[in-house]
Amino acid sequence: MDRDLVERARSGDQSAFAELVHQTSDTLFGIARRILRDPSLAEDVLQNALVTIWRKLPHLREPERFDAWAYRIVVHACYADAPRNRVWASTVRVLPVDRVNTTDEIESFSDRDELERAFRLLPLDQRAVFVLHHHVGLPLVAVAESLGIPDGTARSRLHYATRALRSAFEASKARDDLREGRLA
Amino acid sequence: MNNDRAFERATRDWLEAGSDRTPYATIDAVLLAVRTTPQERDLRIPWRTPTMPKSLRLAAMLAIVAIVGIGASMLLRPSSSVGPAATSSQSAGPSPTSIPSPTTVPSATPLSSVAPSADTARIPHGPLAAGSYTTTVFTPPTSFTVPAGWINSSETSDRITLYFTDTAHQVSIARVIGDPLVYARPNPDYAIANPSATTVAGLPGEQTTFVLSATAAVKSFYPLSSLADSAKQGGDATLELVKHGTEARLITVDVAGTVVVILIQRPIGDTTDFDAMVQVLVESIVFN
Repeated sequence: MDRDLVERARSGDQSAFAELVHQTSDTLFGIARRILRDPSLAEDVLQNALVTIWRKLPHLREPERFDAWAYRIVVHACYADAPRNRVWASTVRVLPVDRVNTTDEIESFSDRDELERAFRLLPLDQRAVFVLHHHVGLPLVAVAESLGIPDGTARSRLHYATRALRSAFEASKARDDLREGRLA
Repeated sequence: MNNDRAFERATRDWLEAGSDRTPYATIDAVLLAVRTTPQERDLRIPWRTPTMPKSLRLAAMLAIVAIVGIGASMLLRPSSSVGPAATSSQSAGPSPTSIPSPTTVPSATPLSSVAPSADTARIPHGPLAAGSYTTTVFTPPTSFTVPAGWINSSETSDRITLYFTDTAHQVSIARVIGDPLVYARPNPDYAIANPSATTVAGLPGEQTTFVLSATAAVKSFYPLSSLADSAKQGGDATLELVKHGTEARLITVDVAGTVVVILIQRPIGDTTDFDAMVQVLVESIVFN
């Protein structure tokens, strides 16, 4: 992130902040969308988070750490807004019927659905670590630092999240194998 | 091993599915809000990374303890020159004629507070000393009296926002282009209660309590953007009526054809004496 841009925004320059928003919003939206699994809710969360970032920018002492600081604010905004929306929006996926005709493609959708279902059952703090590590690509140490948690906690959250997803994936595979066995 | 690779591939495909493109409306709403949202300055300790060396933290703590200790010992020493000096400076301090009655002025005024300004000066930004103030940027020029502890967050042509101690307890006095109740009444996100008649500065007004529904998806500031007076003049000022987790009291007054609202926000179920303190502030308001 451009340090000069952050410093200008921190000193109250609204045009610099607008540029900052344009540069970072897609990444932050991606994080919120993946943690919450609801694009509409993620939009609301991102909006609140960006306004919070603007308000609190003068407190950011190290401009070069803007990204990590912003991730933390977005993740906390997800924590704050998710409990009010316990009725999760259902994900309706339209399958292109004329193209989905191979076993591999059907299995792929089946795998994703299982992963999706398992991920939605995870606590938000485990989802946040998983998304920052696997989607954003932060090393675990950086994830821990960004979220303000000990390294061991980040490692354990990632472990539980991965284990849950792997179980769901393996269950899906077992069902696929069973189905193929019956068809054969 | 194959299973591991298949799991990683499936997880990656699933995780990366979908678009991360931020909707334009979201960005627009943020930039709109930012224009009228003040940044927090000098109100709390800057965010710092947990990588600060322990030795530095310890040194900082020791320095703070030493400063506090020296300060306390100087204040408590009866023969010290600090005591009398402080007394004389208090009595010789600025005392504009508009200073309120002594009952509203606490005995200890924070050192960082700024003394009440003269009538023609702009109300200082940041902590305010106990006293009376008159807006010079916000119109109609409005006078009010506050005890110590209030912070002037911002004063613009169509609003002045004051916090008490923290941003969760705030009072805004704003000029709007229409009655916010006309917007809020049909909106299912707002629970409106206790409408009653009231008076402010001798003018008749209406007082209403708002709570944002716990299931509301509405963004507190966005739908109200057209209510602020400067929006009518081509600006983008907004009036944040109520936020999640807060209860708002809205007083609407017609000041010579101009709709002025006094918006009081505090956390839901707050049991502090904030309401009583705000009542004193509201009763002190005079539109010039």
